[in-house]
Amino acid sequence: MQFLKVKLNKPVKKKVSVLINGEKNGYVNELLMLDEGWIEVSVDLPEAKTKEIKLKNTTRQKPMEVVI
Amino acid sequence: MRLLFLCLLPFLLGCAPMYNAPKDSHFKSLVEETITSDNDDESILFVIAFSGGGTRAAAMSWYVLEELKKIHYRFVKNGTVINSNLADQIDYISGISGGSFAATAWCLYPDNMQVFENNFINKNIQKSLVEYMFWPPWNLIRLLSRSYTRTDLAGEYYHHHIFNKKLFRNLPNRPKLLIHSTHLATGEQFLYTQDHFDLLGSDLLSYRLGPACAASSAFPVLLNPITLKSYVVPESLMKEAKYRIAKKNSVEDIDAYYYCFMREFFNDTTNKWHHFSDGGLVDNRGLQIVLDGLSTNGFINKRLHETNKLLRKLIIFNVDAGSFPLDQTCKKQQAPRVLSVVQYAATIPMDRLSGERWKAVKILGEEIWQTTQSSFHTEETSNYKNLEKPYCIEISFRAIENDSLRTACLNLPTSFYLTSEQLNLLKTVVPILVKNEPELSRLIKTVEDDYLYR
Repeated sequence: MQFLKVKLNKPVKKKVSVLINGEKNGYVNELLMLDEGWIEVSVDLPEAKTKEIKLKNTTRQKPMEVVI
Repeated sequence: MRLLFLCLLPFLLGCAPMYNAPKDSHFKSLVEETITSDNDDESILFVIAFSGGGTRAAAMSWYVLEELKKIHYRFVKNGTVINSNLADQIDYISGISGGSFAATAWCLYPDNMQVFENNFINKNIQKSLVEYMFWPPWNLIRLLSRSYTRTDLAGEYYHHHIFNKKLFRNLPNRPKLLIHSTHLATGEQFLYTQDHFDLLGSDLLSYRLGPACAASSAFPVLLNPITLKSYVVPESLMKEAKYRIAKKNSVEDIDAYYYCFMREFFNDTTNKWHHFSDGGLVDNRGLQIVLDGLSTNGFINKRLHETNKLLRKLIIFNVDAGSFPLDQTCKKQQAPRVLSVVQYAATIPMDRLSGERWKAVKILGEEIWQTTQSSFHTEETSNYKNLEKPYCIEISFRAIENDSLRTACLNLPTSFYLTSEQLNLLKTVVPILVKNEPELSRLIKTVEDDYLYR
């Protein structure tokens, strides 16, 4: 199991969904539990960028942090 | 001549099985639909999986549901005390082969359990299927056609005599039914869900429940596969992010490789007809759907992350009707015949692998629990603060303490007929197994504590 936390470079007041491989799964600033390997990460905001990252060697104490 | 053609037309039309329909452009997918109802405690996610094993599996699963119905479940919803039972809290119900009949029947007749007992469990289905081949008489004519098989006929019998002509569109939106079959050409698990019907460009809701259960129980050699037609649009399955990412992972991750292989196979428009056999060929306990659900973007994974309604209980319930008859082959010098060897090959490796899957489910449950333990709560993990240790509940003949009862159960036949004595044996052991299951006892205790101390 791998761990991911997605943050916004410009914080917004509402709760924002995370998009993993184009599907809503969890929220920004919360710890997500995912499988090892490549994933496509974005957030549910207009014109949000998409990043491809490889999840590996993370722990619940040290999740991978991605800023969108 | 014209008159003769008109007279024969009904028979000729009847020689083709009822295939699946193309997807309607106005079709609304069930996949993203919220699965909820009035008596649903939304703080729990309850997944139950019924194994294969003919009438033995159907009856065992049904009697387990009867026991769960007796377990009082009360909770507070919107300030009102809801008196319910544990069976009514099931969100996903998965079935393979014999188990698929019980899973489907539960979705249709949860308040009238006698219907399924009369129409399936207490009935000699094997005999009824043979009779149905001869009556009505045109059934025999239809079987002369190469495109209409005994499995199609069985599907039609189930449609008319077990599921009261119901289609997938007649199912309630909760619990969500997951009927398993095996795609013969790729060896991949194929579920009767809209997600999988999308691979065929087809509409699930207009499909019959009977043929789905016929496919799920079409044991190779004994029964032909069920065939579905593909309407897929070229390249349509390769555009999604999930496919692109799986392609990138496919060297290191064998599951991603198989996922891509399956999508590419279905996207080949020359593969116009797909053939589906017994779901037990790749997973005889219905647990792969749980493992898939726990993986990235699976339905359990998404629910764990859904912090607008915090998850309190994750319940994975497996009813394993696996038998282990006393083997006679080693008492004789003569090697088993080919048909026996085929049966060994089709069942033993899968039973072992299914056991491994159950171990994997429990390990993942433990990992989730470790991640969410209270000692580790920070701002980021507070979204899991309500989650209790996942409940992995297993009902299996292995747990019967009494030797003679256990041996008798493990020797029950795999067929579509059990005698009343054999059914009585199951009726005796199932309540004992349910009562003695330690994880289920833990669940019942916390349900009561939740209500008392809320």
